[in-house]
Amino acid sequence: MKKEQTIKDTKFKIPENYFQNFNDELLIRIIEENLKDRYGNNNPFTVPENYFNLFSVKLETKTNKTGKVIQILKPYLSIAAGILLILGLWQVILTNTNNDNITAETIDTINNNTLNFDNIELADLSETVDDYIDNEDVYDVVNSEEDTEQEIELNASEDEISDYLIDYADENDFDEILASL
Amino acid sequence: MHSGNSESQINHLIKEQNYSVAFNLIVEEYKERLYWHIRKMVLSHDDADDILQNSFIKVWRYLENFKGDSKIYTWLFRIATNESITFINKKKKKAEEAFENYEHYLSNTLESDEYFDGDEAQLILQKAILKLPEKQRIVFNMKYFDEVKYKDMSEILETSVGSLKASYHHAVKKIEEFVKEF
Repeated sequence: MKKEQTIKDTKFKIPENYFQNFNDELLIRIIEENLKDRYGNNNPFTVPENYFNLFSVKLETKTNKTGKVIQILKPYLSIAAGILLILGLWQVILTNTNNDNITAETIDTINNNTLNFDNIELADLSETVDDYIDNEDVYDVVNSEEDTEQEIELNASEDEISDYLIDYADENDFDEILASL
Repeated sequence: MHSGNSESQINHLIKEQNYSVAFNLIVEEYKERLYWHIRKMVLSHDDADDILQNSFIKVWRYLENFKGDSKIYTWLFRIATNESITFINKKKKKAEEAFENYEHYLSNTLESDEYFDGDEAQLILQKAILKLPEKQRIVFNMKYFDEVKYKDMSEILETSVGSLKASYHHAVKKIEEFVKEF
């Protein structure tokens, strides 16, 4: 009671909860002093000779280089950004025109920018493939190629395929075939 | 912690848009203090050197944007601290990917570090500090070795004084526990 009055009389202020926290603060201070007595608080690390003298020179070279690179690249950065934008738009146009056979669900996925190998569910993929296979247009494409020179009949026997390959190899240079692969 | 004269001189140069002179003055005035602040966090000289350079390159890039809302030294220490934390996190991630422990690796390499001049007792203390969580480690280093005031620390780390005190108290108690084993 007497102590509080003294504080009031002298009009001094103390931080909030000062006396409540005092014991804890003192304990930490004692541990800290013990640590300093036993282990010291000197810096145990060193640096290579002349490190700080040479540091400014090294840094100056680096900041000049960085500054110069930015200066040199500055005019090209906007051009590069423009090219990237055009490529991006071109990709979107290509994706939209080449995917007429893909389901509406898949188109939504592309538009949501979530189409990557990590998030394609196997079920989604097989559904899309099944839709594509069920579409009779696929067979139309195969049928339209029946008249080409390199036709292999779907019901050909193993011997027939083997004969075809031997004939084909006789007619063509293997090096050329390999080069064309 | 910082000299008021150079602080006001640097501020004046920035206001005058004399950025390269201001930058040179900043480097000369703060390179050593920032270096030791970083070094105590990452321990290796080479890592500290890289982080110090990166910190100053950031300062150089953003000097034009410095509006004087905070003190120069607070701004610099904040950049250096953030750069160090980013560096440590990257190293930790790499170590985790290789099923290693970054703190364990630091603790082992410290003994053979040619730029560690401490005796056995200082080595024990450094190993104890390495056991602390990152934030407590930063606070402990700043208070125990550099005797930075909580108020200054609060501006640098953007954390309340109360929280910093709590971190320091936890750190001191943990270190005391650790060194009891030796």
